[in-house]
Amino acid sequence: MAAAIVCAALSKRYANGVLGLDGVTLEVPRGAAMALLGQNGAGKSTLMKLVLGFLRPSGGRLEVLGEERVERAHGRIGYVPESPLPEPGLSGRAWLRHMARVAGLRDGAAAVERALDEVDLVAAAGRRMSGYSRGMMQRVALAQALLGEPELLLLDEPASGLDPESRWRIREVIRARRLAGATVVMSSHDLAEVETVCDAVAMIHQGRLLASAPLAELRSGGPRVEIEVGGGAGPGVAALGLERLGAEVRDGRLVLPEEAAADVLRVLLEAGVPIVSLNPARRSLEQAYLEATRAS
Amino acid sequence: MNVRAAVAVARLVVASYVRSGWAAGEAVIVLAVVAFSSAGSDPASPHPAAAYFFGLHGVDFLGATALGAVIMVRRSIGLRSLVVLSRLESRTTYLAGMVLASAALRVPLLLLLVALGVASGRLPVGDLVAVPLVAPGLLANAVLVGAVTIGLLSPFGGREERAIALVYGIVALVPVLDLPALARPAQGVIQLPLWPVGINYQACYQAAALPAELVAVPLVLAYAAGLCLVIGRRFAARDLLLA
Repeated sequence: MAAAIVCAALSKRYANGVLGLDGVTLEVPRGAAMALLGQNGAGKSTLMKLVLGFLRPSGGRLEVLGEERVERAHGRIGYVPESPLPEPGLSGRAWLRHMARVAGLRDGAAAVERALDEVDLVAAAGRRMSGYSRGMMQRVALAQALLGEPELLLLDEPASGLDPESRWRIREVIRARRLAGATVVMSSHDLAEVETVCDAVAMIHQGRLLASAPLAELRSGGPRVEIEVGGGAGPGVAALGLERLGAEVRDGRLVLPEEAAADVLRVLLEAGVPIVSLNPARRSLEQAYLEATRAS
Repeated sequence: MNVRAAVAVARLVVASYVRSGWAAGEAVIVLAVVAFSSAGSDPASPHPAAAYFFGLHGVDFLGATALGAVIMVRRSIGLRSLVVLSRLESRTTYLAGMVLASAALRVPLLLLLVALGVASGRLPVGDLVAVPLVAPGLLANAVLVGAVTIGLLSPFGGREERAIALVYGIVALVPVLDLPALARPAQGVIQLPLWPVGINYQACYQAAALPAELVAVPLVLAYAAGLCLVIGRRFAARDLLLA
């Protein structure tokens, strides 16, 4: 089955000359949950707007759900913008019913009730959205994206600025949709949230793709090991000069390339340092992200 | 373009516009123009008072339509419209929905104008028979005015479309007497597309049924539809930069 999104050397130069995206080659497999990471202005929203057909590529190739004319895939895409601003004068239910009609859903009213139930907004659905909290607004926007059970969910900062309950609810909805087979692409600055929800990450910096890989691969950061020593890796350990073997102290533990493990262990044992454990090292997503952006 | 989706967009836009209170603003404009106008009659018409009333307020009606269309577009366009556009396979559908919304709101506004005319005594009850004669042309012209206004506003229309409209407006509507004699026939040719609009307006200020309206009304509506398609195609080719 073709990937949900295929970008090949995709570029976008705006009319004012700014290069929003620079030769991005990326594939989002169907059923994956990919996070787009990057600073503000890195190109995440540009990529998302290209995928939605709001922007026209300046170069390269883009295919969304098998369609090169991406608008043709709109009936199979659910989208939540960064700042969802549904019609404040309408109730959540009325707005969703309008959106179901716009989407051409046959069982619109039933689809709306299902979506409201999914985001836990049934009780407030009859109220005007002008009285909704930010979390409720985000949930009603997510309910809109869920209408018609789209194959691809594009979520721009879906949980930013929300209370823990709303964040949890949104995470659960995304998980449920993934289990149902949907592909999810979300941009987020909340790396903990990304680690919870996504299984792949694309890091974008200054319009260029720095890395795109499964989350587990990014966190492993190559073959590295972590050594825990008795009493922690304090000044005594630091004095052994292990950094010349590639070891560094991280959270009181020694982290080093796998091939240096034997030499480091020998030095530690000769110095009489008790060794508590030796495990494969895991980077946090934050470390992986910072390393990638600094290296660029 | 998907007609069903365009109707759905129109319903959403109308619901939002009415709830926001701006539709009431259009009603206030009509109320004000009727309140501050004078009564009169045109003896050349079979319905003298209606001819004067609609001759005068037909233009006001079109003005309120243009103003309403501007407000409607300004209210609807923004980040929230991205959500609607993300559900449509063609941007022309969205433009058509806006034009349909503007058109749908003309009917209650015309009924209000008539009601105010009757209430103020400027449109005698006996002349109400002229309303069905006036309404098709006036409504068709209003649909076109709404379509042109919406189509020229950002993000639907760009600078090129606005420049073309401005140049055409100047060339076609500059008073004939100000033109050199040689240019007058050329202006006649340029004005030719406006013929059905003129016929509809003529039916309005004469409060009479004109046979030419049978052609003029559908032609003006076809102009509005054609404009949607042309502007929609150009709109679809551009980047959508909304804030």
